[in-house]
Amino acid sequence: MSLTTSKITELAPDQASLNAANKLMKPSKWPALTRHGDLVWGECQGSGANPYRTVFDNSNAGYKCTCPSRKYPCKHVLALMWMYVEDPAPFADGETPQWVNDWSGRRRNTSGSARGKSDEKSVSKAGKSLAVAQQAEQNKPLDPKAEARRKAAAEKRAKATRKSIAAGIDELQQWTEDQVRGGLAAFLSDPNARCRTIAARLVDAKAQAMASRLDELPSRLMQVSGDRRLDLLIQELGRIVLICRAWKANQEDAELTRLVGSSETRDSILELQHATRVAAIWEVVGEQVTTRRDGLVSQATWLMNLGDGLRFALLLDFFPASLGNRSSTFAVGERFEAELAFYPARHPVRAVIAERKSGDPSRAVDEMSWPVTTTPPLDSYRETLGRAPWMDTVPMLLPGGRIAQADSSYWWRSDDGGIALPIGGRPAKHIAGVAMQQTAALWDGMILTLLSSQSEWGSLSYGE
Amino acid sequence: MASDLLQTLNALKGCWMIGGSAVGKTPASWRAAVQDDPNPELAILALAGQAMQFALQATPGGELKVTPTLPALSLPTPPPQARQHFRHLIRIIKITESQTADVMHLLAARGYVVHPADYMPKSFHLLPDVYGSWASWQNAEQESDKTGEHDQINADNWDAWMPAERRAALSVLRRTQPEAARQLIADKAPTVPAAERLRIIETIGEALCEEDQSLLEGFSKDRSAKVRRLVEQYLARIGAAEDEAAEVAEFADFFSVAKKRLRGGFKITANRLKTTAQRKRRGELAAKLSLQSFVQGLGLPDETELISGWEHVDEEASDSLVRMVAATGNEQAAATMATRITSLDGISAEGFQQLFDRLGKDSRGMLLPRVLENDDASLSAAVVCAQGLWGEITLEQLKPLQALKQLKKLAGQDTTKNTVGQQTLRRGLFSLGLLADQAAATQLLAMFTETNLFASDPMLGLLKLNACLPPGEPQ
Repeated sequence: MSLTTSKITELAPDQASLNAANKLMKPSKWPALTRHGDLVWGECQGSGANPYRTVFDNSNAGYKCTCPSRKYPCKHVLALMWMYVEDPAPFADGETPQWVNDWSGRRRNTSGSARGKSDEKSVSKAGKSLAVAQQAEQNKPLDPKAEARRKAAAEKRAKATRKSIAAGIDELQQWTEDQVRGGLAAFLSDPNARCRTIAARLVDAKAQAMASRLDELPSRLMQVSGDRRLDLLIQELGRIVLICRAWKANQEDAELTRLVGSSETRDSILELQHATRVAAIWEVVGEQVTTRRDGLVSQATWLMNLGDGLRFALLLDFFPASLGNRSSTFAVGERFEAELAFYPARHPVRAVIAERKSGDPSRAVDEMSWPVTTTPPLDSYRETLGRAPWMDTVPMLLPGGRIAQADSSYWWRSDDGGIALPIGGRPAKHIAGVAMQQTAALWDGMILTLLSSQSEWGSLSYGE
Repeated sequence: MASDLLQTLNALKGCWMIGGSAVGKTPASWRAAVQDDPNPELAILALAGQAMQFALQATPGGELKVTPTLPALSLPTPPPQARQHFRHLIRIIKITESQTADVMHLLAARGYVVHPADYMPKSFHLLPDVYGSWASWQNAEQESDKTGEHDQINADNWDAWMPAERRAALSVLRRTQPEAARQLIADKAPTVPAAERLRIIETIGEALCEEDQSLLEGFSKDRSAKVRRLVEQYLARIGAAEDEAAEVAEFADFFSVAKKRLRGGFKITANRLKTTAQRKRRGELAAKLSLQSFVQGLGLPDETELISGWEHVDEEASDSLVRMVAATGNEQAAATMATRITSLDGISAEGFQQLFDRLGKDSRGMLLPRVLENDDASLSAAVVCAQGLWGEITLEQLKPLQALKQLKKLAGQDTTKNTVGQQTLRRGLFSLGLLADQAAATQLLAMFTETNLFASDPMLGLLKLNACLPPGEPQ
């Protein structure tokens, strides 16, 4: 049985969800709308860096969305269903992609919920209504005075926040000096307690990003061997000093404010006139999902452009760990055409998708090869540090090489033997046995994290 | 220069480790750079951190050893769509290891091997021979390209072969130069570990003949019980078993033999047993004795008379006979038995498997239509019979099957509360995925989705893989 508007109303958790869904019913929000049989899916650009992938089954109203909403179904599912029921014509026929197959493969062979009556009543018993949702959007008031007041209040808040952060940064510098004077051996014997106190003070001072950085420091220290902890601690404290001093010198700097306070919203990046924008075909070269101590899960999707000129981009999203595992938006190795808007920085890496080209470019881009770079990887790393000395991790494209072992540690070694960089963890033996023609990796000056490689076996991902 | 920097950094680290100011430990150039800084200690800390990140690079503690290169296999990897379906089977549906081995046989039959990033087998003994070089690679401790240097195995180059490839090379030698193979096994098998020795002696099982008797007798007192048992079975197959007469007589007493009046021949019936102890003893003797001794004990002229006159009245006894024939019967006895057993009715899957493992590809191919015809909806007997014949059955062959009708019926029902039905449907669809040719798989997919299953139903996973596997160059 196909979906109807009354069924959508029935499925909606509340009227607010329908109102929010109505706002998403714009073609510009959905660069890709596709169907195959009863399966209908699309990608919706939400507030995160990664688009949300939404799918539903028209035959039984089963659905899935990668957004972190706690409402089921979320506004993206409702919007997709609504658009499809109103006019299925814009939904192109296509082959089911892997993420849709994966979702449908996990489903039980039962209907998603009890089937509703096929009448066209649009007002449910709970008082939810699609008509009301549409009206709410139309009746949105526009008050220039209120808008001006809002802007003034925001500016006032920003000023107060800067003042508060400045106080926090002063305290942090004092704390750093205390740690050095008191002896880093004592710090290393109990990093959790020491970091927790200053992180809490920084949260109070609204220096949220710096607080998270300090909160994560103990676990980062634990990830390296005992003999390298002191080196990592000195490097990290040194970077903190650099960030604090640079921010104090220029409190309006967007990159530094992001490192100590909070990030800009996606919309503000898109509205920036001078933001770097790059339109290219991008390949997803890696994904890192980590649960942080503050209860957030960070989902980092690394992209690399194909064709001329090497450029990396990072789509970074956060969501509460309490929502459980979220499926990834992109699979490693996936390619897509899009214009990315980069967050302003001395070496811009973090980005959001500004515009996703519609259609399925995968067929056209399958044969495109990875970019070629002649700059030695460590030179480009040093060049990046020269511009932004506080950067801790820099993406690099490594030339041909192999994984090699020395005692119990593993290294990436270039084919000419000129570079050997230690890698984190132990690679699967079959991965270690492959000659890598090119490798995308992250280097932090101590540990190389392999993302993916091109090899005679095709593309290999290290995240699996 | 680097050593100066390292020395400075070590001095700074030592100072900061115990606590205190490190400004005095820095070179003059560093002190000059921070002399106007309101907090020179922090400035030195930032400089030291940058120096570590920028100028120093870790070096390996010892010699770097590269893992041997994963060898390329002689077949290509499947097309991208098929790889996606294969990964789905492995990671999402999570098929078992033996099912994975079956799927890999299907891939090999179509001319493909798995991509190492999709699946790297832990064990290779159930897999097609095309993976032999991966097995050797996995076992290799050191980089070794010796194996590929030799066309034929012999006593001089024996040690240069890795176990899996050595076994494959021995099989070839056994087929082409049986006498040389016998000599090589006699010389070299005692020098390898028991598990490998067993696999080497298994190569004799192919085209076993009387000339192998002395070689087999050489292993009859092997220290490995598994090797001894295998050797006993092989000797029995060539009529050289040495069973104790008392045990043979005791076993024969469990059966009655009567002459058929009209068409000649004999009728062999298992006697009704009264106690569990009797059943247990009959089972023990069946597993121990050879088919030839059993025939002699019953006073029958040959094995064919026993098999063709066997009355299927006691399932346990029939299963014992099937296993006995599979283990100790000669080629003709195994072939005769297989013609009588074309379904799992009362026979254990293990016994059925053992028997059909004795048959060549051609014999199994001839029996397959009958097995398919008599099989139940899970098609498990057909899967056993079709080993090595994966992905060759046409829709015309499948259409009239009772099993297919039952599967369609199950697919049309709501099986959410019928666990047995759901399992049967899952197994049956998987079996169809192994058996059907590409065109049949495509049509079966359409057929089952029209019935009631979602196109995305995980039970259809193997049929989907099959449907997008065009025949390449088979192994």
